[in-house]
Formats: sequence, structure tokens, C-alpha cells
Amino acid sequence: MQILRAFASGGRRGRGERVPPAAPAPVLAAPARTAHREDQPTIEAAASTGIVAGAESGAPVLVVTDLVKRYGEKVAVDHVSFEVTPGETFGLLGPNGAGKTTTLAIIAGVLRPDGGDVCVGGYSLRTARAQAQRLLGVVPQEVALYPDLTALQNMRYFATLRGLRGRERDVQIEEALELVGLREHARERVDRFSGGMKRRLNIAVGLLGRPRLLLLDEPTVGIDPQSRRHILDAVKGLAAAGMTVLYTSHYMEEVEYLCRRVAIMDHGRVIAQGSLEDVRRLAGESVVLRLRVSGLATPPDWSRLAREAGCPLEMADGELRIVLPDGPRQAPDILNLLAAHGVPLDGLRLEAPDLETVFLSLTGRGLRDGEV
Amino acid sequence: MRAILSIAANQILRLAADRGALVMLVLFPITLNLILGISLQKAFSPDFRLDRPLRVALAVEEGPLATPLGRILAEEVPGDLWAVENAASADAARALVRQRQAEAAVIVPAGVPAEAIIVVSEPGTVAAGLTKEVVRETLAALVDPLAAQIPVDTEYIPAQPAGATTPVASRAMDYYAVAMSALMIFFAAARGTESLLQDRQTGVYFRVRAGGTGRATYLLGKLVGTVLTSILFMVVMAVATRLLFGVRWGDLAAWAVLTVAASLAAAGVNVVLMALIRRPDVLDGVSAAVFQVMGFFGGSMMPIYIFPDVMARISRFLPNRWMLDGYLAVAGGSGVAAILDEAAALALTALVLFVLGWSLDGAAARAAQEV
Repeated sequence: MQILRAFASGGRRGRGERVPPAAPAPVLAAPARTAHREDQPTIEAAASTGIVAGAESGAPVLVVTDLVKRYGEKVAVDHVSFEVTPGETFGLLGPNGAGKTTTLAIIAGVLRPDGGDVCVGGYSLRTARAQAQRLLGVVPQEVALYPDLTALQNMRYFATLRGLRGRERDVQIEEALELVGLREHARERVDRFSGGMKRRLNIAVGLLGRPRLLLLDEPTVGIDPQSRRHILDAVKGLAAAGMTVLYTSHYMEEVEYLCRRVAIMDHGRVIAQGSLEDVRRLAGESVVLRLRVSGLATPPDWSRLAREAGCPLEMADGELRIVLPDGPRQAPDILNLLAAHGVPLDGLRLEAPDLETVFLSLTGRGLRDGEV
Repeated sequence: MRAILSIAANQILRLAADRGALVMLVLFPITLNLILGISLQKAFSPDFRLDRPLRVALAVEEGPLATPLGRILAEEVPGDLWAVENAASADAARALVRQRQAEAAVIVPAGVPAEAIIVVSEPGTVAAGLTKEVVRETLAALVDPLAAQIPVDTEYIPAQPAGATTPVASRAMDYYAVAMSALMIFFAAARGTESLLQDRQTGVYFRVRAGGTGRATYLLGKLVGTVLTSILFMVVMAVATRLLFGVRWGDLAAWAVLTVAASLAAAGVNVVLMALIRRPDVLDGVSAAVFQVMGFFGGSMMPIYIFPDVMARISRFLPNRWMLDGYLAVAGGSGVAAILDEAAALALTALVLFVLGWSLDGAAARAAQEV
């Protein structure tokens, strides 16, 4: 019940509350490669004192080293390295197709890497996959459940496959359902659940076996804002309870809400990593010019406009977002350019850069679908 | 082992929770059983005539009345009714039926009229009834009053009082109870293999594998679940058709042996289809088409005895036909020993298909670079 108690406090934090900045860490540099011995796990060596003892030791729960995955000519994961320390919620941010899910599948021990290695709790996937997998909880991007069974039947099935039996199984199921707020719905069929409830149950299954590291792959895709908030609070509660989480998303605001450290992926490579503040600094003097566009009869060629402006821009939901690398002094020129192209503006504001800005300034593209 | 059983049990649990399965796997075949059993009852009547001569093996022993009777049966019966093949002995005639080189055999023993003429045929076909009628009409046409008194017995067909006809509607029902089961068992097994592909699509497979369950364990669990689903289906069909239509399925031990073998074969066919197609939406349509074609050639739609020779030969290569022959033999009173050939053929086919399916799936897993 330790997790539950911690969740009760962590889950009630104010909405939108930002996590305090972490100590500066290297940015745009490969992470320090923690030495480990494959036959003698670092954290597991301290297992006699329990998981928390391992967490307190500060040794990374997850070490991803120089990971490579190819599909023919295409390099899906290109020499990716990062570490996740105990109790940390680490964000893996990137657009669809960046290689996040492939990286996660390798970490989960389902996909064979072409190079590099992954160590979970000190166990190398190459030499001790079964031991490493025992420390993992996985929440796939899809709702990996049986809709024709009840929540409880789903939980029992996956718990049994995790090796849980009897009273221990029932206790863990109850805890996990309580954590995601579905205890009252345990005997309802999953196909009668809302999208958000299914997502929460998806997470609950991932908690079975009390994993040391929880892998969450885009857990909020396709759900309503209320359910999304519930899930984010649940993840935050888990982190408050000391669980280590690897959280992948293409929603920068989620990563900013949950994580102290992030790695941004694009085309299979980590293009930036470190604390949120360090990564934001990559945007330099950049600011974001947000322009409300209305009554646009014929949309201009946004790509051409971006080239003329010399700034990355994206158009989404009637709003034009332009990253100004040299700061606010660029704004008048951009506004004149837009006026020359007949773009009707209905309001504007300047903002400090966020992760999305960083991605936009580093790649010239937006994180989400529908970017210019 | 525990994981394998959990995966298999989960499939049965899901089957029980699915009302669609009740319609598809129980109500649908029973309805077809009823419709075909009633509408095709004429095809099981002794009055029914094929549009080709019946292939009859004739074995005549030397005897004062047997020899002339044999000659009359060989020469006097119209050629559009019978195509007679002479057999050296009673056993040889039976062998021809067993090998399906003849649809019926007529054995005229040396001791007639004290001994009965025996008509041998497969159960559940019209051949025995037709042959018996032809023998009787021929005997009645003879002036010799002794000949008219010669009894005619049948093998495989339940004993009937002299001169009585087989209960027609009941026999059509019996036939289609078996025929529909031999068709729908493939659909029942398909639920297991489809769930395997669905698991891959929905991320359940990923989750299970990430939890430490190996590919072999997972596949074995699905396979056991598929076989159990098929067995369960056959149990439900047997009980339902017995209660609703009075269908007799025969010796329980022989039925059980055949059911296990049939379930393995149905699972094997589905495993190969699954490994080849690998997309649940496509698999559904392709499987349905394959099963229906197999069912047609295997005698599930129309009785095999009215097939042209070519189609009847094709049917001998299909597990549907082996199931049909086996179950009809059991229904006709045979025990385990009589259906061992069919059961062995089904089990062997299953083994070959499992190995093939396993290899294909393994190749696909390697191509996807699964661990």
C-alpha cells in the first residue's frame, strides 16, 4: 500500500504545477555511461535491502547504451544512449516515427537490437533478459486488453502470466485498480469503458508485479482531457511513490509536466537531452510568436513562407506558431511578410520557448501531426 | 506449463463471454442441420435415384441357389441402376467398399435361402437402401417362391425389419449433424488463431512477451486453447443435436478419439492459415472461404454419394471427409478400432500442419526481429 499512500498525496498536486528544475546536466552530449557488470547487477546486488534501497543508492535503473536498430536501409534507432535514475520520471519526446516505440520495444526485451545494449536494474538484456524483464512493467501504446472480459478478468490473466498467485495476486490487482480509480468498475466489461478508463486499466496492468521501472508508451493518445489529466496525475503519483518511469510522448506539455529530464528524438537519434531547463536553453534567444489567423480564404504555401522568413513555423488549429531565433526584434519583419502574403491576423503574443519550440528550432518541424 | 494453461483458459473464458460465438458456433450449424435435414431428406430415401449407376461389388459363393441368383444379379439388373464389379470373396467385396472403390457390396452366401444375402455399405449413405431395394425387386421378379423368401441383411446400417425403409428424416438429420460439425469445427478453431493475431495487433502479445512469456509458451497456450475450443464445440453440437433432433453419435470412446483428432486437425489448418495471412481482418474472410470450399468437397453441404467420381476422389484428401466418414461410422455402430485410420490421418495431418505453421510463424517473427 506504499504506492497508494504516496499516490494519495502526489496525485492531489495542483494542476499545471511544474516540477522544480533539476541540477544542470550535459546537453546535446552522450550521457555518462555507467559501468556495469553483466554478471553482477548493481542494483540487484542491493536487493537484500529491497527496491527502495536500490533506488536510494542512485545507480541508474535503466542504462541504454549506443542502441541501434535497423529495418533494411532504414535506421529506426540510431546510436541512442540515455540513463534513467531511480525514482525519476524520464521523458522520451519526439514526433510520430521518431523511434520512441522501437526504443521502448527493445528495452522491453521484445525486439532484438542490432547494436548496443540495455541494462535494467543492472541486468543486461543480452545476457539476462528474463531477470531484466522481471523488473519491468510495460504499458503499450495500444490498449492491450481484452474488451470482451471484465477489468478484473483482464487483471487476473495478466497477473497470472506475471507469475502472481493467490492472495498476493489479489492484493496487487486491488492496489493497481485503486490507483487508477477503477476499483468500483472491476467487474464491468472493458468494452463498456470510456477511452480514458481503458487507458487507465492499461496502466494498471503495467503495474502488476510491482515493477521497478515502468515503461509508458504514449499513454494518453486519443482520450478526452479529463481522462488525460487523471492519467497524468496517476503517473505523477507513481513517481511520488518512488517508481521509476520512462515516459514517451509527442505531447511536450505532458513531458514538461511530468519529467525533470528528457531526451528528444528525431529520425531515430537523440537530438537533445538533459534537464528541462538545459534543453530549453538550446532554443537560445528564441521566442515563439503565436498568431491567431482567421478568415483565410486561400492558405498560402506555408513551406515557402517559412523559407522566406528564415524561421521554422507551424500552422495548427487556426494558430500560426513561428520561432524567432534572434528574439523579439525579428517580429516586425515577420508580420510585414505575412501581411504581404495576405495572411489575416486576429491577435498575437510572444512566449518563452518550450520543448516544442526547441524541437521546432532544432528540426524545423513540429512535434505533432499537421505541422507545416 | 501454468502459463500455457492460463493462455488456453483465457480463450475459453473469452468464448464464454462472447454471445456472437453462441450464434455462430451453435445456433447457425443447428439451424443449417435442421434446414438441410428436412430439405434434403429425399436424398436419403430408398426412392432416390442417382443420375449415374451405383458402383456395386458382387461376391457370389458356390451354391445350388446362390450361383444362379448371382448370375441374375450380375446380368439382369439394368445397367443404369448398377455398375457391377465381381469380387472374389465376401471379404474382397467388403474391402472394395472400405476402400470406396464400390459404394455398396452384395454378398450372396452359399447357404441361401437359409442364409441371408448381405448388403454392405457405409452408414449414412443412400447406397445401402438403394442396393437392398434392387436386390429385393430382382428376387421378387423371380418365379421361384423360394427366392422371394430369401432374407436380405445390411451391414453398418442399423437393423430394419424386413421390408421397412430407413427412417428418412432422421437419417438426413444424422448426416447433417455430422456434416455441419465437420464444417463448423474449423470455424470454432479459427477463433483461437484469430485471437492470436488480434493479440499481436492490439499490443497484448507485446505486453505478454515483455512480461517474460516466451514465444513458444504463448503459441502453445493459444494452440491448446484452440484445440479445447474445438472439442467444446463438438461436445455442444453432439449434445444439442441429440436433444433437438435425436441424433445418435454412437460409441462414446470412439467419438472421443475422433473428436480429439478432428480438433487437432482443425487447429492445424487454422495455424497454417494464420501463419500465412497474419492479418485478422483478412484472415476472417479467407478462412471462411477456405472452410466452405473444404466443406463442400468434404461432403458437408451435399452428401458425398451424389458427387461425380472426380469430386468424390478429391474429397478423400480432405480432413472434412475423414471426419465425416469417421463420425458416420461411429454413428453406424463402429467402435474405436473401426475409426483408427480416420483418427490417425487427422492426427498426422495436424502434426504436419503444426510444424509447418510453427515454421512459418517463426520465420515471420525472425523477419520482425522479435527476440
